[in-house]
Amino acid sequence: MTLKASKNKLNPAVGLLGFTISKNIGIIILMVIGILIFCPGLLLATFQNVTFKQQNFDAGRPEYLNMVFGFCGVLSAIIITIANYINFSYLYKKSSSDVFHALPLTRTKLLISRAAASFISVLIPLTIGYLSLYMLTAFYPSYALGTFSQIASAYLVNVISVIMVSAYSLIFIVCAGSAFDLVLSYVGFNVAVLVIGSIISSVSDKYLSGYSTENTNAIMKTLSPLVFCGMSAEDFAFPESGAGYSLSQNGGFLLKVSAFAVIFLIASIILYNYRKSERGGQAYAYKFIYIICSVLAGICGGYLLSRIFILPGPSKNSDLSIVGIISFIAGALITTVVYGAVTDRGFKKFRKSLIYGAASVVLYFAVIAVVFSGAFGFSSRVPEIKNIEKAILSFNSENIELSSQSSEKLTALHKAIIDREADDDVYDTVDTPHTYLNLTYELKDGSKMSREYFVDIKKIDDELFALYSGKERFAQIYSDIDNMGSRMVYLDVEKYENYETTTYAISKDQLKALVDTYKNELPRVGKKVLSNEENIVRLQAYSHDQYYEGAPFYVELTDDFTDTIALMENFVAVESEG
Amino acid sequence: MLTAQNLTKIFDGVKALDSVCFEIDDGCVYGLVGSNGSGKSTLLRCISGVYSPDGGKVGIDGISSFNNPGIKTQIAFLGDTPYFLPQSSLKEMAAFYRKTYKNFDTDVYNHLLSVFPLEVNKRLSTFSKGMRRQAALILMLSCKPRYLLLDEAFDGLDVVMRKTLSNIIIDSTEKYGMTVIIASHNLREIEDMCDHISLLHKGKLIADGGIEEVRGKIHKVQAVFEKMPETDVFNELDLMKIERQGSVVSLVARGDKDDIMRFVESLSPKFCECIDVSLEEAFIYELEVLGYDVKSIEE
Repeated sequence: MTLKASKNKLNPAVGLLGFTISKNIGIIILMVIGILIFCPGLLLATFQNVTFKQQNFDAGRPEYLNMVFGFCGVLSAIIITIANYINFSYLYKKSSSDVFHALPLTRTKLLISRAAASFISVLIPLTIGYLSLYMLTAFYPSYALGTFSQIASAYLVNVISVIMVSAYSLIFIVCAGSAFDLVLSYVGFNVAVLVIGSIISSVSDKYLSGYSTENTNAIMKTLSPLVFCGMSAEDFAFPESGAGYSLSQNGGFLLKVSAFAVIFLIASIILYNYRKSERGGQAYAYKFIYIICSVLAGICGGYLLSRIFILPGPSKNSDLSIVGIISFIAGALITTVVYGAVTDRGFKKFRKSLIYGAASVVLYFAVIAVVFSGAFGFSSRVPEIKNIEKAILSFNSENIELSSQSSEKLTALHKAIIDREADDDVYDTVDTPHTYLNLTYELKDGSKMSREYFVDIKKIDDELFALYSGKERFAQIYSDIDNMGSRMVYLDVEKYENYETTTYAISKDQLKALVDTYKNELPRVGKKVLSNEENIVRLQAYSHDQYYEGAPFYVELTDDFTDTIALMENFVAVESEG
Repeated sequence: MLTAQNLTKIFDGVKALDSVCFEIDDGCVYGLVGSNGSGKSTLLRCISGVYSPDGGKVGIDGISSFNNPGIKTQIAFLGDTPYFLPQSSLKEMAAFYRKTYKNFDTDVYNHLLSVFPLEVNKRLSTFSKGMRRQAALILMLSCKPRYLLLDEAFDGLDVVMRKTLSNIIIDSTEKYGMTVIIASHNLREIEDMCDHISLLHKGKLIADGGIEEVRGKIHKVQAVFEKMPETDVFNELDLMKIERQGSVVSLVARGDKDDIMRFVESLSPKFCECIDVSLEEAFIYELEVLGYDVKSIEE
């Protein structure tokens, strides 16, 4: 069989791209089938349920769109990473490296051609999956998962996320010298980053005043581009505002993800252009990735070993005790030596591994030192009122929202906590009443600032009571009551003396009257309500459809609230259980 | 013209190529021989742009080939282990190379297929070692490059195919003006087809020139003496090796044949003759001077 003579259409990069895609066609078809089975296949099967059809779905079915979005996002991220590994595996073998690098292509074009082949192989099934959703919306509106713009937005986020994940993996691919070390560095780095995020979070939680779990998310997002992408996509699908899949309201992260993608791509191109082909078959083409992974592994190993010796509870050992320090150093050195032995296939660079272990120790204790010193002003920072858009105080299961103008009350409380050193270590709590306070500021520049304290109430009771008895709190309660779905509401009353819960069915007006009475009595009862020490009864009001979304009125009462308790006795009980 | 100036390549502190200099004219067959690990493959990889030099430069007409598609399109490099894109057939590879090399000639490809009868639609991964090499050679030759670089070109080929390939290479240089550089550790294999030959040892080019030129530089003389002269007497020659056995002296020296013979005859031997050395012997003597001989390895 011979080739027909024709003029050569020269385009090595496109030729290589086309060739690779043609060889990936089997995987592409499998992915298309997989995606179509899930979406719309499985979803349509679910929708055969009559109740689904009967509902009004003008706004789509966000919960199902979420499933598709999450499924496609995770699947495409995994597949593109694997596809990149396969398409760039030529780097790790001399014979294949020779052939690819001898082709009349610049390294940049070679990298883009191979990466594009991976991307297109994922893009095709992804596009077909979303097109099927689009067609459902267009031709079978009763089965629609979302509006056209929601589906298009979800698709766009998926595609850009895939590009970023791909570009990110390229850095590791180019830096590795063998397939084994690629997997080791990629998995090792990304897992280590998460562990280190947890370590920083744990250390900060212990030693940094004001540190909150919200900050953990911020740390994870900062340390890991993959976590940033995943969490941001989740926020995009489930925003606090409630309007999911809206690029105009929640799409700001796309710019960051795109910027990451560009930066990673440029970095991988630069690294590839300077990569020495002869490093194929060795552990790493660039030593820095090995050093970074080694140091990260050292921190993880040191921390894990020190946990064994710093037991919670009666043990007085802390991170900075002799036992804590020695166990960390031992763990870090053992880990870097083992990591070095795995990478170098033997203890060839024992001394260097010890140096990396020492670097892990220095880094870890540097982090602790930073945390101890207040993390560059983290623990003493209070935002200026002019920069606050909205402020929220979470206390006693209630969120008290304050506008920009009234946020002064919260900053006053915040300053009082810092100035009077009211924040205590949860483990050292003594007999004085304490409570958790969560302060969240939404700033005008779009950022958020969160602080969490376990405070000695007596030190800040004036500022806290001012907020608790303030008009903002009650304005919100009344507003929430107005927004309740039905005219009739339920009120659960639990008595602490016998743990008997009685449910009353009352009107909104009766509930408002109850809140009025409570509001009037609050100043008289005074600051002792803050401590919850003398509470005898707990109230929780909710409408039937809001039960799982939190109650608009949730308070605990002492026996000083005589009028409020008396008022409740006039309500009609519908249920009582002990 | 392909030139290298002080070409140096270092792997983990070891010089795989150490200030190599050469010039290769177009249209010749250039043999590159050397011991194992002498740097032959590294040199080919530097020429083809796979490796970037750590010092000096190598390129065509003074232009470096590394990361330069314009130069690389004039070079086809076949490494010691042929590699093909995964799951590809010969036909698919040919289609790929046709889009990659501007001089890919379908007629040449079809002609070579008649010489090396291979199944074009079968996956290359199912081919035997020799067949894979044949397939790779078909593709490289079809590209009609200005420079064809072959690393252990005959490895895995049977006798008939070796001869056939040898003829095709010579034919290609004559027809298309192709320059072929063949690296091999087996000198006899390439001796007959090369116009020019170089010897590499530990990254250094220790001999370089036309076949006759290289061979003609080294001479082996056997002489019988009634009264054996002192060994030091022969130091006036550019002596590479000397052995004494009774009244017989065997020596290998560099230089002009007549000058060497005149010198030996001046010592009044009973009998003396100059024996032609083969190219292989010439290179073995060169390597022995550098300490690379069977004896030193055994020690």
